[in-house]
Amino acid sequence: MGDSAPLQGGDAGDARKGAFRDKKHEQVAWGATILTLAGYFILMLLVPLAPDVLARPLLGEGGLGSLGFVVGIGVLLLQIGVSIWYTKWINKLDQQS
Amino acid sequence: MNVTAVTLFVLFVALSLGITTWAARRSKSRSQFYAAASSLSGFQNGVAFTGEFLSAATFLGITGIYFTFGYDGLIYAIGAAMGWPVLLFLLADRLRAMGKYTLTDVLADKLKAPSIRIFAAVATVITLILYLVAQMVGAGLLIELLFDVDYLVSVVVIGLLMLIYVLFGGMVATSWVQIVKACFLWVLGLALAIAVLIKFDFSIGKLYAAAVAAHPRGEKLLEPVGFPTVGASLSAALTQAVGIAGLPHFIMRFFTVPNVAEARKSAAYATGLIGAFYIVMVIIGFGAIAILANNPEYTTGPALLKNGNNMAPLYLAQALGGDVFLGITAAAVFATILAVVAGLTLAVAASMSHDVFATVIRKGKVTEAEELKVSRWSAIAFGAAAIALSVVFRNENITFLVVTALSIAASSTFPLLFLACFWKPLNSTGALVGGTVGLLTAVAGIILGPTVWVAIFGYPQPIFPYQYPTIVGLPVGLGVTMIVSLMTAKK
Repeated sequence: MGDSAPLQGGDAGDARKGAFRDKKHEQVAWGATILTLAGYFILMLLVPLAPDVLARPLLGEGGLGSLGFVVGIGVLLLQIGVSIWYTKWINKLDQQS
Repeated sequence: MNVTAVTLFVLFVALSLGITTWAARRSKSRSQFYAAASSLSGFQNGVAFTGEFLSAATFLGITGIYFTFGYDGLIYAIGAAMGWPVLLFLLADRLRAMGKYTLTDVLADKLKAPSIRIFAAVATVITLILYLVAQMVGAGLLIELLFDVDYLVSVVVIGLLMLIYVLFGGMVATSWVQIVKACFLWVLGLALAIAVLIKFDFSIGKLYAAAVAAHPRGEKLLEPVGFPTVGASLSAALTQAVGIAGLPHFIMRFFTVPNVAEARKSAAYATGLIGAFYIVMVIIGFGAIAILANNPEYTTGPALLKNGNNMAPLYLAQALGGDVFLGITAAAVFATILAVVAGLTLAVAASMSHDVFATVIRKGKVTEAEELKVSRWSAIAFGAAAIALSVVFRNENITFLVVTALSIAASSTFPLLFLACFWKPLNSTGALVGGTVGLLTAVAGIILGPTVWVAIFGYPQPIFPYQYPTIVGLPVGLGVTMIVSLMTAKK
């Protein structure tokens, strides 16, 4: 059919057809996934188990500084930070190889 | 009739038609039509991903949840963002490195049986038509409400515009329309948040105090209410964490960049832009409460907005900046809907032409021109079906459409995709049986759950207790696939 080849413009790394570059890459990728999702799942467990704890003030007089908001926004920021770090790290490794 | 909204919407449509005309010259070949010839940079595709992801359900729906419940808005927002870790860390490399066009191509790279292509194409159509109908019903109702335009006319206009983008511009047009819309929506969201903060002297404390004073829940605004049991909460979390990775139109977008590095960058940019937008929405959500919740101009009762709580961001814009700001916000919402429906239609058209016609029916003996012709006719058929279903579902509760789509993705296509990438013993028989069982489990769970059994059929209690059936569907889909693969493994 002619569609089995990679699209034009693919680089040598594409020939791996999806394997992690090495064991360390695999471990970091899984670690990043678990780290970012763990924060989310912990929050989602707190929702039914301890909703009043989430409403507790953490910063200043409370309000949007509650534990729930700090954890929630922290989960989003953690995800953004880990994603940026991971992308820079693995792309740099690919360039060096 | 809001002149600003109509003017800006017409301008957006004119711009998008201009993009489509430009893109038409770049959509002659299969790789151009399906994947923009892999010509997008990581940043461009990241913004396009953001546009694809931030739908009207995000902007209107999540703000509506903030307005109704408070903290739950953040829970839903975070959940929506949580599909990206799996996509970026585990799947982006594999998807791009395979160098294909569709989700089915990815599965078929490992599973050669034609039945897998047919199954994946069927799952694609079911998942995406549910999403599409939900978007179009929302658009039709909104246009009818704001501009007093007949509902049928509204959905036909939306349907025709999305078909023009897809038929003539393919992925090139769709991508650039998404990019323009993402920028529009992001800037609008930021402007709305800044307007809220100006009103409260940039004091989060003042904003919160005003919200608490205005809302009937008062201090309880900070307590979550939407997921009262561990099962309900975990099922929703699972759906969000893996459902997005099983959505065909997202998978397709990984093939629009030239290599794996750019694919990773695009997922990372999308993660950042989407996550940051959701943080901005905290201000929008609480601003809506503080300014609208006990304002008789916008409410029919305490924290009950006229025409539904999904109107929160529109009314907030009007309260802060008059009809001009309302018009800008409404235009952004319409642009959002148009861009999203175009992306969904392209994914279905690609699946029908590439996966079913070219590969299964013609067994690869097809010219590019023939395949693209079928793709365009498929888009027309799908668009017509979506318009017809939008009329049928006009007065129905459409929430279950989106929930079903995501649940099917989480219970059926994601398990197959994940196992195809990470589990060697997977075979076609296991994938077909497991994928089908996962899909049927998800559908059964939705029908027997609160979204359909109670809200639509009117029974007092659901048979399946959770809104999202993924807590059952995902392990069933994975388990059946693995067991059948092992049982039918060739010695």
